[in-house]
Amino acid sequence: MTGPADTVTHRRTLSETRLACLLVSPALAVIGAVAIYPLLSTCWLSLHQKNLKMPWVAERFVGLANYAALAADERFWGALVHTVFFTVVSVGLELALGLAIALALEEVVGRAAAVRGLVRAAILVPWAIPTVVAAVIWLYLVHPTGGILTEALRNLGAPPETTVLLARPATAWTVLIVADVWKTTPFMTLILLAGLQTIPRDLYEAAAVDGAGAWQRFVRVTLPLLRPAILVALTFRTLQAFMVFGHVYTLTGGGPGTATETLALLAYQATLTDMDFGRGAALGVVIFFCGLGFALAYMRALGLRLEKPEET
Amino acid sequence: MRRDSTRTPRAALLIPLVTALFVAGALFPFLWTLLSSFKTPAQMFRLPPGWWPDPFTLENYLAVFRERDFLHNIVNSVVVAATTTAVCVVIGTLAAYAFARLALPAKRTLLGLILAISMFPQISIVTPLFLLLRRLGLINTYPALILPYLTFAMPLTVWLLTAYLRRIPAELEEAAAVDGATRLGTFTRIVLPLAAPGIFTTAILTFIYCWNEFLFALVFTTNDSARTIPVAIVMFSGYHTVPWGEILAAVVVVTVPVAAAVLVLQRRIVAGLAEGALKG
Repeated sequence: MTGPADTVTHRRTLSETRLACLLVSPALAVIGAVAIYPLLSTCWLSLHQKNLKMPWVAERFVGLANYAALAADERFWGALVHTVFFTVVSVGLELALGLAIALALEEVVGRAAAVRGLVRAAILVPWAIPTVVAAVIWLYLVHPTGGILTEALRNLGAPPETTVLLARPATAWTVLIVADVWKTTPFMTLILLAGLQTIPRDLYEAAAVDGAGAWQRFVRVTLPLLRPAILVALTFRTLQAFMVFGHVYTLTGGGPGTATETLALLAYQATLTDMDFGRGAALGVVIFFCGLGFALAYMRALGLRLEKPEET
Repeated sequence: MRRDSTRTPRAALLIPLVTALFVAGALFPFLWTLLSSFKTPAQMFRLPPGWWPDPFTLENYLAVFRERDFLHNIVNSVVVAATTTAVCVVIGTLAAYAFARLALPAKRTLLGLILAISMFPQISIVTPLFLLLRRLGLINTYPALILPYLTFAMPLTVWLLTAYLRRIPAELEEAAAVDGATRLGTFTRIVLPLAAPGIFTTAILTFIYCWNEFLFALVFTTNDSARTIPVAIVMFSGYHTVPWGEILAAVVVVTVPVAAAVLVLQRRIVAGLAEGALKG
């Protein structure tokens, strides 16, 4: 299991394994306590009926009743559709935009320090602020009376009813997606740019010599070599987008009505507002398994590159 | 960089354009918020809202700190993020050393599991954590946030630090061992100094993730003085009034130091993100 990169002169004895276990155990204990135990607890809770707003109904084991109730709940399916829609559109846009920008930036990055600094700022500052703070900024930008974007739309001749953007589902979704793309495209760009910079120049030159045009070079050289970076970026972002909470909570609260309600928001509502812990737990389990499904699919695509070739 | 012979004239025009649009699009909302934070509410909602604050006022900033416990919120955010980061980095470095250097059974599975856990949906574990914290009477205390934050911070730290420690050539430690140094000695005198940049970057990234966290902070704190920055800002709005002046001022107060810190540390952060993503 261990290769030459591992210790050679420190004798590989039982004591080394014991030391390793000792060093790892605090971290594993923490992870087990705060992550694994609560997850198992959620699974267990989802099999019970526990509603603090109905204290006269005792907590009891109900098997899969909560899940059956979800399957029959239109609002659940609505939230699922919303979440999938948001994930696919947002992440798709972020990937396309991020790639386009990364390609452009690749040329720029070698230039003057000032330009590089501005570009880095543009990438890092949206990433570094809290998601809800970004959402609050956008809330202000689309404010019916004071928002600069609302004003711009009005100047472009949009009819007055359409300028209260968050009041109608179509425009509310547009705002949600645009704001999310604004916040996270920089992160995509960063990962993709790093990936682009690992592609050796000679490959492009060789392809050019062979008569390949710009588009062909992109498809034949860039994309395949960028695949790992794309998959990593997609994995992280898909999971994040699927579990989106603060962004939607701040911008629309799931409204108008439940038109922009996502799964996480529904789970929050069930747990904290309705105090129906059984239902909230069931939703949590559903979300977890969906997320797990995504993660496994991407990881298989990535080939699970966990270790360097010379180690096992 | 591509040689000019492979770049078309169209590209030569597109590239600066795309870059300029990107930078403008990314930074404009901040600039607008910054400008607006110095406006009176009357001007903010005037139609059309002018570009420049007129009159220029600091009233919003004064109100944020006078009428709200915002300073307390900032302190809360700092304490929670710093404590979580410190705990994770210390415990994480030990674990990462074991993963990177020592013979450990089922290493790959464990690392994969840890990566998977760092991507747990937080909403999925909110309920039991909430019930547990409530039973322990910890709601609205620092542990109410620090303990749940370990859920994502601990796996993240172990994952990143393992990637960094792996990059330090094992030969250096072996050479020291030949010279008679103990494992502890090589760790403190050779590994740690070399790993310091990686540890520092991991700390920065962990701190930022804790700083930005919303869901746990929203659920596990219920009063103003215990809240962290993201929750406090969202909760500024009352039933009838949305104090935009104060909200924007608070946003600026939070964003400017973060932006400054991020710009100063940019090389580290960029390297850390790319490293963790591509080579982890």
